[in-house]
Order: sequence, then structure tokens, then C-alpha cells
Amino acid sequence: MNAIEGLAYGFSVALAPGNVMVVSIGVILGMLVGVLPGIGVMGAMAILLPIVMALKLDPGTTLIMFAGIYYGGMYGGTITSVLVRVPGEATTVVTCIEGYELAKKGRAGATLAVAAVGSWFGGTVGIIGLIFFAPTLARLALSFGPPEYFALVLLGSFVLSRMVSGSLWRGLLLLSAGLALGSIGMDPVTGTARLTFGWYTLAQGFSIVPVAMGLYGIAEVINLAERAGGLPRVGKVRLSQLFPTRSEWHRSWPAILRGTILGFFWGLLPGPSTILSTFGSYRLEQHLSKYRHEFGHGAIEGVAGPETANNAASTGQFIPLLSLGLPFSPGIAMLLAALLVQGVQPGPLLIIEHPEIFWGVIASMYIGNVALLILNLPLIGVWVSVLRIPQSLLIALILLLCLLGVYSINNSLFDLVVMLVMGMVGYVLSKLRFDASPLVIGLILGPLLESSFRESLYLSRGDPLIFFQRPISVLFIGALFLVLLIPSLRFLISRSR
Amino acid sequence: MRLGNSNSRPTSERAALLSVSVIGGIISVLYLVAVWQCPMGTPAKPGPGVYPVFVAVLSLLACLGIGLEALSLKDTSTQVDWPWGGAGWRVLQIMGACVAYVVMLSIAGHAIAAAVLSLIALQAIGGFRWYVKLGIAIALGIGSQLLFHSLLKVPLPKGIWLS
Repeated sequence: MNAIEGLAYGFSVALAPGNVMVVSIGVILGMLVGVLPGIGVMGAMAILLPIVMALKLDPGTTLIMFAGIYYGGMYGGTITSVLVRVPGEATTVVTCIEGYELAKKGRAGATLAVAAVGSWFGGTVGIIGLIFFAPTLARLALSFGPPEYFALVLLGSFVLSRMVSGSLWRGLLLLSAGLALGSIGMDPVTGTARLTFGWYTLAQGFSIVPVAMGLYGIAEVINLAERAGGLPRVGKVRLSQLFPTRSEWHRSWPAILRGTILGFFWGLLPGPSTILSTFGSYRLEQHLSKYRHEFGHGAIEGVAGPETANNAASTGQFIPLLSLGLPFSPGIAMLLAALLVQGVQPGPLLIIEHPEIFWGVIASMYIGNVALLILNLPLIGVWVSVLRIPQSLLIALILLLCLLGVYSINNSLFDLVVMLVMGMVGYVLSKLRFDASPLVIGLILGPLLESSFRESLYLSRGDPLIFFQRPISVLFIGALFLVLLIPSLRFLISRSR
Repeated sequence: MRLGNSNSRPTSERAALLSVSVIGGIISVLYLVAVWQCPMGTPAKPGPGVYPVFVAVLSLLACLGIGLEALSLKDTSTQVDWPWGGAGWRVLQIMGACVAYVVMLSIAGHAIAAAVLSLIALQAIGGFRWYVKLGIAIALGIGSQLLFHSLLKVPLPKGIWLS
């Protein structure tokens, strides 16, 4: 089926009354949790994943709900950034800078409206691109063998680790920690137990859910507890204040258009494209704006462009997920985890074997995008009320959700212990300014990396040059060397000057 | 160098990174020793031990890199603030609440464990009178039991008394 037929099929799945309700519920849940200070989209997905699993929906419906949670969680983080200057994650840092300054000027509602419209526009264009790029990439990926997958996963993992951590070594340490954690349990090729020390519980390996919930949920709760009472008071946001002025729209629309283009193409690349596109858009708007003096003190373009770019890039990242089965960001990695737990393996065969999931998710993303626009602005008072919930109560609620959520997956005390240990690790990492994303990516991609590595050696009968004999594999490995060597060369050049 | 305040104790980033490098290095060596026991197979049929050896080497390199990065920092460049005083006590209480929940779950059941967790968390952050905290804790314990056990059909431990 071609893209248009596929999309029509997808809408027939997504517009089923149950699925429309599911995606709307997902958006609301995502926003309710994502709006909690410091939680953001990763925390929202980590906390809600096991709860959604407990609902025992079919795989397609589960992923549709998750797509809603993903969008809702992202916008929830925007609300917190604007109203209380607490970024949920790196992508909302620039919104914190400009959005909070605009809120201090009484323009919180208008800022949130611009962010919502920009996100909707960027997401919509991103989905159109997804419709045409994803099947093409899936067809191309059918020609990928184990060496190509190994090289691509290695490239994506290293790029992500390098970019999010700022320091190559910090990223590599956490990436290798994730890969090491993923190596404990059953060997993915032979099925034998490895590094279990005779302990049956370890033979199951480490599940992504308790690890992610610990690193992003529990760690953030501990951070909240540490700075308890340190959040600014949230003022009222009236519905009448939601409408930007003509001047604000006039300044925002060009930024939204630029952010859409920038974000979508960044989203196609492996690595933390949402972070890169957000900061890239901010720099671009700062450079092009006639109101440069306002940047840092509340420039509406500084919110419109980055928020749009973020959503467009987030949508673009669905392309490698659905067509290659590879997540290049932690949020998408959680979506992959949701699919894997349901027994669905995304990749080039997903569009052939499960077209209802492939096209249903794409159509649901559009519906989720529209639901986000319709629901979040009129309900802004509700989201603001969430921010006024006493912090002690919020902390107790989040802790309960995390603990119950993890327990509900396997009824395993071991999972709870893993989550708590990872929570403490995540807290220490946050104090040391290490980003935990490479650890999560390593845990998820480790088995794929290992199996493609060993299968490549089986194919070549032990000759490691197989990775350098296939053009696509050489391309990815070449890009990897550039990523690793360029920063070192720049450092050496700057030292010699 | 900042001296911190009553709620934090700073250490230099250099010392913190060196600690990470050393601890990470020790764990990496232990991991390498453990995976060395796994069968390595042959180049044409690599065994389960091959890939983890690469991971261990990568980890050791990363620890070395972090150590060198730490040594290249000036001692007073940036600092890491660790919680102390009131903030430290809140952090310990929240961690303690979570541990208490896990310990009590099988013994006392979810509802009681959840109520205890909530009470400790509410006490740690403050903001309510004692009877309000108690009421909220009990409500959260019973409410979460009803939501997850009765509505979502998640089997939750009842504890040794109710089992």
C-alpha cells in the first residue's frame, strides 16, 4: 500500500471511538504528570509506562496511548518551564529562560498559547514528513544486514552519549554502564545465563522500566525533596490572557516556520536531535530577530522557534523508531520499551507484519497533536492548579505511583529494589551533572548491538573486516570516527594557538 | 571556593570526578574479571564472553578519560553541592520512606506500607498539621489499594495478617 492508502488505513484505526478516547486520555495523563516540576516527558513516560501496561490494552492501543502521553508530557514540561522556571529536561531550558521572563511580564498565557500552536504546527508537518520518509526508510532498511545494524547502533549510541553529556568520557562511561547492565541475564544469541552468579532473578536481566523509573522518577523526587519549598509561587492564568497580541503573532510565525524545518531534519539524524534542534533554533532566532536585545529578558521568538523545533524533531525521531526499530533519544527509547513489552518488534518488517500498528500510530500522533491543542489551552487552569498542589503531597503521590507502577509489571520486589538503587544512582548523577540518557540507551540497545556484532562475525567466519567491506556500514563507521575525532582535533588546535 | 550554606556542602568538581573515575575503574575491573570466566568461543563463533569484554574495556577507557579530565580541571573551577542539614535530612527521609515501603510490603501489605511511606514523605517536607498528615497518609494507602487492586486488578500483597 502507498503512503496515502496507508494513512487512510491508519486513520480508520486511530479514529475508532475507543482509540480517540485513548489518545486523549494519554495526552491528559502525560500533561498531568509532565507538568509536575522537574518531571518532564521522560519522567512522565517512566511513571506512566507500568500503569498503562496494567490496563492490558492491545499493542496498537497501548502505543497510541503512549504517543499521547509523549506529546502531553512534552507540553507539560513547557508549562512548568514558563510558570515556575523549572525545566523538565534539556529541551525546555531555553523555554525556561524566555518563557519565565514573559510570564513575569504577565504574558504567561500568551506564551503558552504560542508554544501550543507552534508545537502543533511543527508536529503536524513532522507527521507529514513521517508519512513519506518512514516507509522509504523501512524499504531501505530491508537491505541492512547485521554489519549495518551494528554500525548504525554504535554510531547512534556514541553520538547521543557525546551530545547529551557534553563530555565524551562521561557519556561513554554511562553508555558502557548501560551496555554492561544489559549484558547481565540471558545471552541474546545462545540463550545461556551470563553473569547471574546462579541467581535465578538475575537470569531475567534488568528490565528497562524500573531502571528508567529510578533514574528519572525517583531521582527527581529526591531532588524535589532536597529543594522543597524552593519553587516560585504560581500566579493565576486567566483564559482571557491566553490570546497573543497581533505583534506577538507577527513575531512568532516566522520563528515557527523556521523551527519546523530545522526540527524535522534534525529529527531524522541519530542522536539527541530534540536538544540540538531546540538550541539550534534558539541561536537562529537570536541571530535573525530584530529584537535581539529582548533575548534573555522575554523574547517570544525564543519560545516559538525552539518549542516548534522540539516537537518537529520529536516527530522526526519516530521515523528511525518505526522503520529501523532504533530509538535515538530516551523518550523514544521508552516507546520502544513499551512496544517490546507488548511483544511487538519495530523495524523494517513492522509496516508489513503490523500495518495497523505502523499506520495507526502515525494517524494517532496527528490526533494526539490536535487533542493537545484543543485540551491544553482551555484546561490551563487545571494544569496550573496541579502546580499549586502542596509539594509534600506531590512527592508522596509520585513515590506511590512509581513504586506501584513498577510492582504492577512483574509483582517483583527485585524490580522495586532495582528502581530504588537506580533512583539513588540517578540522584548522584544529577548532582555530578551527568546525563543519565546514555545509560538508558545502552540498556535498551545493548542486546541489539551484541547480537548484530556476533551475527556479523558468524557471517564473515570471524573476519572483523566485514564492517569495512559494506558501503553503508563504512559510512556509519566513518561518521562515528568523525564524531569521536573532531572534538579532540579542535581541542588540540585550540591548545596549540 | 564557596563554603556552601546550612543546606549544602560543596566539594570540588575535580575531587568528585576523580572519585567517579576510581570507583568506576574498580567496578569495571570487577566486571572484566567476572566476564573473563564466560566462554569466549572462536572468532567465527564468538561466545557470550566476547562482547562484555569490549564493554569492560570501553568502561575502563571512559574511567581513565574522566580521571584525566578531572586532573585537567583547576581545583576551584566548579563545585558539586551535596545536601546537608535540613536538605540532607529530607533526602535521607525520602530514601528511608522508599526502603520502608519495600521492607514492609510483604509483611504488612501494600495499604499499610503505602500509608507509612506517605506519612514519612509528608513529615519530611512538612506543611500540614500532624492529624492532617495522618489522614492523608491513610487515604493514600487505602485509595491506592482500591485504585490498583480493585480497579486495575493488580495483585497487591495483603500482608501476613490478612493473607
